Amino acid sequence: MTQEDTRLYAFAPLEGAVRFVGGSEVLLQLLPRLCTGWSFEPVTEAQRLAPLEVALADGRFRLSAPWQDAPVDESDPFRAAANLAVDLLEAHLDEHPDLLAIHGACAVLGDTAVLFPGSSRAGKSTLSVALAAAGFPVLADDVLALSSEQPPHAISLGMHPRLRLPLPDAADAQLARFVADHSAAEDDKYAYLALPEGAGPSFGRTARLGAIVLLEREEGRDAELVSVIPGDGLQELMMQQLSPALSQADALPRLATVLDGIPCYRLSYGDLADAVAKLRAVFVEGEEIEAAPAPVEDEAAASPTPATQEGTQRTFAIGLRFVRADGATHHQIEDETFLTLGEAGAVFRLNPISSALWNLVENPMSVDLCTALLAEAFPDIDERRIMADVETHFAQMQEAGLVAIVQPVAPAETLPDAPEADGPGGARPVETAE
Amino acid sequence: MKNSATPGSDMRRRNLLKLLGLSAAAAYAAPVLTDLSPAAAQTRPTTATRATRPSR
Repeated sequence: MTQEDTRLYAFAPLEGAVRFVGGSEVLLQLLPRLCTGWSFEPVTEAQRLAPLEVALADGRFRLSAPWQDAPVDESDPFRAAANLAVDLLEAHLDEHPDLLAIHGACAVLGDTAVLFPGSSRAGKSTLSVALAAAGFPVLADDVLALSSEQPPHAISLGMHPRLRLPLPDAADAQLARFVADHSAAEDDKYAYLALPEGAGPSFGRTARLGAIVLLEREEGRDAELVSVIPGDGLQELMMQQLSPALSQADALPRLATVLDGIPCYRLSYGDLADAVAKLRAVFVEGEEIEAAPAPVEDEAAASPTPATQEGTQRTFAIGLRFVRADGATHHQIEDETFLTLGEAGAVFRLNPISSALWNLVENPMSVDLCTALLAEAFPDIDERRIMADVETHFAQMQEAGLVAIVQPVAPAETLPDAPEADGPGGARPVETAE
Repeated sequence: MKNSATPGSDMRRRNLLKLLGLSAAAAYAAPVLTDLSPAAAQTRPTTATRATRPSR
């Protein structure tokens, strides 16, 4: 390669220019079929370079960027251009760590954006196109950005929808016709759609985030939209956050802030047209959404656990106390807690009783005292069952590195007289070694 | 709840739930710790999207 082989291109959303070597800029002719809003022009010099290089040699395209495990090597120009579109998007996210990138689809329903987070094959692309066919503007079918400030906004990154071929059985003839009418390109696996202006993703298009909808496809099922607890929404956003430079510990509070006040639902459906009709009814026509089912007492918990029926088998020595391990950050959302631990970004979700135990071990606490407090809070539940649950749970927490053992206390431990009507929070019981 | 017959016991339970960080509507269920870590997750940042892209 020589200096003469290199061309620089500036892309409107990117601050850094991209290097094209050996005539690889031929891919740019294909880019408008893959994304909208990414205008580009050749430049002779650049103050800043994006960490992305595209080279063409011996009939093969090679795309190199620091976020790739290995350079992409591709002979098919269209596939190489599709990879270039993804790399441009990643370069943009790399330049804007303030944005939260989410693996999910998003459409504008009524006045606000509805986000459908989900992994591959969750059905989000097909649903996006079905929504577009029904006249709802789509901001993304695969990845979009969220602004962190309040109120949060969904921001389109301009990538055109892409559908896996053949279309699923849930797609009817009308949707198949829509796909055929708007297909900009197809390869052996996918149809790439170019939707009419205003109907599809366009870089920078924004809408205020109005709801999170988790998708659940099940053949033959009537469409149903029900409320879910915010923890379900936060878990899915944590699983689908794509920001390259964002640790899970940093993502947790930011996603929780985004989620604050945003309702979360689950859409179960078997037929796409049925799903679109349900979304239209709820978000456009104001149909009432079914309330989340009330928490149900764990009936099994009213019976003693066999292992403790005799009251003799204990996992931990009496008086052994547990305390939160160092380095865990936590965020409570309603009755649940999300934890991140360590540099590796371990993330845990604690259900309400697990969360209660986490709250208790802010100071050293024994299994017996935790059991006594829970037994008093839930007097219908067999105390031996609670103790077995607490012991099992502390063993799991210890294995996960979330709690540590401190020295045993003398057996004179008693239930503290703390939680009287003494204002918010009450007094926190603290166990002290004698 | 069985022990909610008196205002005093109600008050004590409410404060106890507050101490535990639970709402008044909280019900007992076995404590569950769910690992959402990268190793446990099915998809991960960047690779999640890249895995669905052509040739990757």
